[in-house]
Amino acid sequence: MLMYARIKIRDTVRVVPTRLNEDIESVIMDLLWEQFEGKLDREYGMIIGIEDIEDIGEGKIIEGDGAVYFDVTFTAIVFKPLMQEIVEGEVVEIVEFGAFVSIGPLDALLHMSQITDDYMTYDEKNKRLVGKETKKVLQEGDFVRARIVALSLKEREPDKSKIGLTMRQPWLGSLKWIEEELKALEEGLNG
Amino acid sequence: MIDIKRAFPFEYTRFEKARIIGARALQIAMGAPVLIETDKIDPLDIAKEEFEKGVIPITVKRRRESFVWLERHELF
Repeated sequence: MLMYARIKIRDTVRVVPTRLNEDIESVIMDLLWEQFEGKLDREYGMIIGIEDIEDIGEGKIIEGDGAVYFDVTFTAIVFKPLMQEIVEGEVVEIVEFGAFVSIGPLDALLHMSQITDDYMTYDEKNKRLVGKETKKVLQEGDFVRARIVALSLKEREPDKSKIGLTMRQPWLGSLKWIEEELKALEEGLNG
Repeated sequence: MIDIKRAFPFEYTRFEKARIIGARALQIAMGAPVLIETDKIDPLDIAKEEFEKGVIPITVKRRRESFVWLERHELF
């Protein structure tokens, strides 16, 4: 399971003249957070934090700009969802066509048809999804275990990235259902 | 005699001096903190004064063969 990773990045940071009297390392740290937090890269995933600055190169002044440019090497923590990966998350929103699950910095879509083998109906009043035969209920705040089956990360607009989930497999689903299933199984074994 | 000056405590050429004062004046104009006590208002004047006092935290990196010092007789 590779969901979070630490990567090393080298990039140039522009330090504006107004901040030249401050401690350069903390200024660069601020700028890195500003510049990189939430940035999405197709290959490396989404940068969720700057961990440590490894090296700050010599500042350079370029013609026509009073700012100082530093080559900085730093380590960052990235969030990278992978296809077929099992994730756990909280249901944050129930809509007509399914549920949105928060799996860290991004929300993933769990479509109606991918929740159970049963047909799910949308209960608009209570904002929940109910199984037609099994009467299984999925509502906001439930924790679920699901598999990532669709990935479309948009570098330019991270908000428009889409992650699709499925729970139509053994031992996937709302953690409540899994618990119930386990209990039933144990009873079956004992009895 | 050709003498390549590259060790740090060197005299700046007028071009380097212009570049340093220019860059510093631009920084001051863009809001960089001034390093000396002065009554001057024009960023260029402030930069010049800083340069005279030797407080500008900018150095010049000369590349190995970027220029050479020539004696007058070598030019003709």
